[in-house]
Amino acid sequence: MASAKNKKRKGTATKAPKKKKPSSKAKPIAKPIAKPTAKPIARGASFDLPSEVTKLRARVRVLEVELDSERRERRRAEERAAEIEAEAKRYYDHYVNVEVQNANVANLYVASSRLNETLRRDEVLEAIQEIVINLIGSEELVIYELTGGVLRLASSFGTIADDLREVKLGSGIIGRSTANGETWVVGNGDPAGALLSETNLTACIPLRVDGRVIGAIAIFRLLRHKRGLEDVDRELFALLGTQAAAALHFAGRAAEKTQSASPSA
Amino acid sequence: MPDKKKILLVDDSATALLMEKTMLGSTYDLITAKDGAEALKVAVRELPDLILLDVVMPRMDGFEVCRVLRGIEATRTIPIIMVTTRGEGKNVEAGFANGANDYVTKPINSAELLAKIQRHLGA
Repeated sequence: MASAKNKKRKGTATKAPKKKKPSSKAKPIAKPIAKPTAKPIARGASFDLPSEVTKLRARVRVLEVELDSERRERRRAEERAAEIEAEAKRYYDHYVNVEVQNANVANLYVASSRLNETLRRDEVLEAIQEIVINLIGSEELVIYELTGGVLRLASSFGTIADDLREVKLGSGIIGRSTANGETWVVGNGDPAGALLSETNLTACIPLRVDGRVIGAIAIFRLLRHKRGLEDVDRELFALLGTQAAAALHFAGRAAEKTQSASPSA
Repeated sequence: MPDKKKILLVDDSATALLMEKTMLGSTYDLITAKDGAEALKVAVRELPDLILLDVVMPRMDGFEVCRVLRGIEATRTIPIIMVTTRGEGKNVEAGFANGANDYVTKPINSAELLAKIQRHLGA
């Protein structure tokens, strides 16, 4: 054992490289990176070119199939991404639509609540004004009551022309709309025969109870920042046409009842 | 669940107050005042997280309420959003000059109002 070790040591010792003396032409410690080169074919070695070409062509075909598959996969992923994006947009549009509907329902609920919470005429008139100012967006309006074929001003807000304090049924847009019992809205209604003071009229809403017209609401200029009428405004017009009318009608009846019940009456 | 933030709604119009309550009632604790003088009392007493303040009111308008609130230490930093029927420059500038943080115009757009409130409450 010991002799073997010695032999090994001996052998190792004989094979150990001699230390070179340092010289000015010392080689760098790191080996230079070898340039990748094709393994040269050994002289005399056999090389079957057609067979290699066939192998490479087969490999190319496999790679082409894989590439095709990858492309199809990518196309499917892109289509799915587009579908998801479209679906997200649909959901977003639906959400926005629901939000708008919620806001509209809130407007109608508030208007209806305000019109039906009192039987006092002055409070009903105030509620109508507030609905037009806060929910529709106009600070120029007149509320008329119809007596003896004439629309007489019951309440107003903003600057109103003197000749609009009383309007004969059938005269101008307000008189005609009230006589027809049909709401007139700028842009949709016929402006023919408009009075000069009706130039800025936005809408005229006849007030109907039980099929009978008892008055009208005339709405003039919209607030400057309001871009125009929206669907909810038209729904508010319809609500005002019936519920404001009923509220005014029942407020009048309640006042009559109170007067007749009063001992001084 | 964290406590709801408290918002003071100030408007002399019952319709405007009901509309604001309908828009914000499920998300915030709401307290109300019907004019400027009442708004000052309620604001100092309740120290709300935000004030939604109408401009045109009897006794004391929104601009004046805003200016007074900015002079009181306890209410100096409460965010104030002015509510105005006039969205043009002069009115808006007057609001900011008196210490308002933001403004919305009537008729109030609920999405816009909620976004502005959330921005100022940092929620």
